[in-house]
Order: sequence, then C-alpha cells, then structure tokens
Amino acid sequence: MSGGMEMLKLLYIAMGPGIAIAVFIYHSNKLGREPGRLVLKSFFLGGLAVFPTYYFEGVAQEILGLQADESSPFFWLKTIFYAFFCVALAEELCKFLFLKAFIFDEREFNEPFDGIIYGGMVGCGFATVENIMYVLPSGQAVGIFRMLTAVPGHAFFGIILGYFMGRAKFSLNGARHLIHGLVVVVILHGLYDTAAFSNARWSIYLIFAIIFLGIYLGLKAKRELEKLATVIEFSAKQYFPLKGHRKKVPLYLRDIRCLLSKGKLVPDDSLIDKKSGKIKSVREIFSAKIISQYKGLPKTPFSGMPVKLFLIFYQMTFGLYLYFWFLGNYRDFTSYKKLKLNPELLALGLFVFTILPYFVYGVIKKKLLLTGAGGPVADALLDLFVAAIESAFLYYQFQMFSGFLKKKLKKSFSVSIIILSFFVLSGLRKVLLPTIPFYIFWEMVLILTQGGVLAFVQRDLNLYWKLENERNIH
Amino acid sequence: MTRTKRVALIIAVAGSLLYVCSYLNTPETWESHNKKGVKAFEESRYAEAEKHLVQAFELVEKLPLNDRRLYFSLYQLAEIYRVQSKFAEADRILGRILEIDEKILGAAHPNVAFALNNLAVNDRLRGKYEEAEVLLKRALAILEKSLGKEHVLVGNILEHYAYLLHKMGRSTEAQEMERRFQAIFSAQDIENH
Repeated sequence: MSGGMEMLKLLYIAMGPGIAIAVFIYHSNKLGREPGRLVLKSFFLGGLAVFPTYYFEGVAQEILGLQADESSPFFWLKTIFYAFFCVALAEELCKFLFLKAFIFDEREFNEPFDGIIYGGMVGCGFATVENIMYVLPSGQAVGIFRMLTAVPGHAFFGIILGYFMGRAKFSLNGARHLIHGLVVVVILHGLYDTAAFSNARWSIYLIFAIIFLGIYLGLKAKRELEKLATVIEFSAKQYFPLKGHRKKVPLYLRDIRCLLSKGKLVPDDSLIDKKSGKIKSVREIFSAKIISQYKGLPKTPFSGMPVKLFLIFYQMTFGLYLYFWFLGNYRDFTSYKKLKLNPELLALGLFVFTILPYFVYGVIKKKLLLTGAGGPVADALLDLFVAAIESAFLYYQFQMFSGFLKKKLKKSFSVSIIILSFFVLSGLRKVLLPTIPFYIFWEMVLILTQGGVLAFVQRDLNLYWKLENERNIH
Repeated sequence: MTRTKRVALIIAVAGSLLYVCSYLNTPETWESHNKKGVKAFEESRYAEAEKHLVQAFELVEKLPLNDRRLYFSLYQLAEIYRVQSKFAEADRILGRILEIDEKILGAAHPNVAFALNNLAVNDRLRGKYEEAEVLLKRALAILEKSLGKEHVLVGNILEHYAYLLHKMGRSTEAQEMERRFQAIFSAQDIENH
C-alpha cells in the first residue's frame, strides 16, 4: 500500500469512530435537533481542548520524570498522581471549562437533555483529535485498540459531564452538580489512565471495566434526561410568566423551552403554576423532579432511523455500531410494549460473549502452542463460533421483532434469510486474513454488505414505527 | 465577556500555541527514529525502515562500545540489510558487532560465537560457503570450550553446520553433524521431561 493510501487508511481509523459516536449522539435526540452550529462548535471545542492539555501533560511528565523504569520505588505513586492530576484532571477540567465558558450560557442550551448532546460532542471532538495524534504515528493496531477503549471512553465521559451540566443549568444548586460531574469523570478517567500507564498485565481488564462502566453510566444518564425531555415535550402543566406581554397566556413546558431558545425567557425568570399558583423559576420547573410525570405521559413515539444513517454508522464504526443498534432496538420495544426484558444486560451479554472467547482462546493458545497445536484452522473455527454467537443473539431479537411486525406489515423480513446472510458475512469478515492484497478494501466491502443485510430489518422497523405513530396520533 | 470565558480563551490560545511550539521544536531522538524504523519494518516498508534505523544508528555511533543502544542499532541495521538482501552491508555491520564483542567480552565469550554464527548465516546466504564454514568452526570451538560439547546451543550451531554441509554437497559429513545435534536435542528432551 502506498504511503498516501496508508495515511488515508490511518486517518479513517482515527477519525471514524469519534465522528460516528458524535453522529449517534446528535441523532439520539428524538424530539428535536440541536442547532448544527452549536453542535459543531462543541465538537471543535473538544478537539481544541487536546492541545493545552497535551502541553501541560508533557511538562508534568518531564517534571515527574515518568520515563524512569518501573522498578523505581515511586513508580506507582508517580503513575497514580500523573494519571489523576496531570492527565484526567487536566483533560476533564479543560473540557468542562470550554463547555462552561462557550456552550453553557447559550440560549439553545434550553433543557437539561442538551447537556448530553453538547457534552458528548465535546468528548467526541477530544477523542477524534487525540486519536489522530496517537494513530498516525503508531499505526493500525493502536487505532483499533483505541476504537474500543479511549474513543468511547472520552465520548461517554463527555456525556456524563454533559449530564451534570444539564442538571446544573436547570436546578437551584448548580455549583454542586458541576463539581459532582467533574469529580465523577475525573475518577473514571483517572482509573482508566492509571491502568493504561501501569503496563501491568491486569491493566487490560481494568481498562475494559472502566469503559463498560463509563458507557453504562453515560447511557443511564442519557436515558434519565431523555425522560425529562419527554416530560417537557408532552407535559400538560401550564405556567403564566410574571413579566412581558404574555403574562395572561398559559405556557406549556415546551413553550417555555422555546422561549428560552429565543432569549425571551432566561433560566432565572419566574412563572406562576396555573394550577397551584406557586411561583417557580424556570430552573425549578425544568429540574429533575418533573421526571415523576413521565409515567403518566402517552407512549413515547419512535421515529426509527433512516437506513442511510444506519449504514453510515455501521461503516464508520467498523461494525461496532451493531452493539448500540441491538441495545437501542431492545430499548424501544421494551419501553413501548412494556416487556420484561433488560436491554442493557442483553447488549452486555452480546458484547461479552463475542469478546470473551478470544480472551479464553488466547490463553489456551499460548499453552497449546508450546505443544505445537493450534493454528489457522483453530483460529477460523473460533471466528465462526463467535459469528454464530452474534447471529444467535440477533436471531432471538429478530424473532421478537418479527412477531410484532407481522401484525402490522404485509410483508416483513425473513428472519432465517437475514440471520444466515449475516452469519456468512460475519464469518467471512472474521476469517479474512490481513495478509491478503487490499485487505482493508475487502473488509470495508464486507462491513458494508453486513450493514446492508441489517438495513432490511431497519427499513421494516422504520415502517413499523411509522404505522404505530400514525395509530397513536389517531 | 465573563471571567470564565476569558480564562477559557487564554487557556485555549496560549495552551495551543505552546503545544505547537513544543511540537515543532521536538528533536528526533534515537528512540523516535527507532520507533519509526521498527514500525516501517513491521509494515514491510523496508526502505523507509532502513532510513530511520540508519539515522538512529548515526545518533549513537560515537557512544562507548558497551552502550546497549549502539548494540541494538547495529543488530537492527544488520537485520534490515539482510531482509533486503543487501548482504555486503549486513556483513560490514555484523563484522562490527563481532569486533565489539571481542573487544568487550573477549574472544572466547559465547556471544562472540553467536556473532560468528550470524556472520556465517550472512555468508551462506551470499553463497560464500567456505567462508561460512570457517566462521562456524570458530563458533563451534568457542561454544564447546565455554559451554561444553553437549550444550543445546552447541546443538544449534551443529544444526546450522549440517545444513551448510548439505548445501556444499558434503552429505556424509552433514549426516555426522546431524547425528551429533540430534543426540544433544534428545538428551535435552529427556532432561526436560
């Protein structure tokens, strides 16, 4: 591969995951879109935060003399100090500061959920620029490892930070939420960095554990503020403003949100509750307390996902989007049909059962190699086994969809054909040898085809949600 | 402009400028050249790897002979030349390693025998079988004397010697060598079990 092509490939590996997660976060707001200008601004601010923090980290590294060998008695002390106070604190504080200074007071940041979007964008921007700086000099292997660890880590730490920012903007004790958010992300990030810098054997497990925890907390935070956004959108509660010419016109929560974005109201403005007559500020009205209204609201409408967008996500994350898609689909059906399922546990199961065999095999292979056993056939069999596990998880999910879809659509996708095609493509992709000519091209083709197969399911799901929404409206 | 905004702006501008300055002023080190060379080597970009490894070597060329970086660089260079079939250059470098080993460790040290063996491999690849045989005999003598005739490392040299003898068409002598190294390896296996 020529130098130019190699550089392009590395750039793709470095930028793809961060941008894909950013697009995922942007589209996760199902009730409306944040202004593109502010979303891009957050992304670039995140990218910009890399430079001052890197300078600081470089200086701190020289002062601490971290190049010293691991047998030094102060190695662990220095590593922990460097990880928590020179890297985690510097990076998260810089993201926090940029968010607070340039985004927090924007009019369009007009409900707590917006914190998730802008925080996530800052995290993704940071992850993308940092990834370019790591992957271009270090190569593909580093890019793939970081795609699974540092990139989602930064993105979800950003979401967690954004969650607290959103809560802080719309609550009476904002400072407490801001400090709380900063402490949580610094602890998560510091633990991750300690493991990453320690070079210890166990560090890989801790790295993945922190990333899982970050993703879990990030998704939980997103879910909570999604509920709050739903309440703001559909709540029947009304308020009268205390000032302005609208004093006699009752406002729904969504009207208040709209006036905030136009600058006609600010979070400190007070309104009167139409029912109780109590005076409350917008901060109080939009605080987390209103989540209690969520259960009484009509069923959440789902918009599905445009097939093209699905294919872009799938391609840009090298197929890793499968896990998020799997989770999202379960969540939509569980919430809509009130099913007794645990979507997070199922998605985690899919992830663990498709990663764990490789770890186990790696350990066994080390021992087998000593006796001359193991080899390409065993590798291929393992790849096919993992492809079968993936397919089995999808099979059970698609069977469930199929049951619901058949009642609504004249003709829905065939579970067996989709699963069989997915298994073949997934197996092929996994057994593909990196040594073959134009390997990256073939891998991309297989990922796109795999995404294409799943796109049939997405297309039918979109139709289903469209029909359900129409039924709910009527 | 609020105070937070001013602070953030100063950090963003000053921090980014300082980073860019420090990035532009970072000199290439032995480690950075080596890292780039090894990466290019792993990705089969041998010409680029050679360029970086030569630059790394030039940075440590004048260091004391016992500096591990000099030693490491010489081995890296020998390998990159050998992979590209630049045997004459590899020979020059392997000769330098041999010289260093002899000076620092003494002519009878096992490391000298390994350096001789590496030179012999290079000569064999160039088709200079007679020269390779001379070197292997020297290596064998050193190892037999320092480690004993039954040592597994002696077996390795014998294995190489047998292979060379086959190449030279001296099958009877080659079979004799094969019997010797097989006996050493079987004894080693029994010991391990």
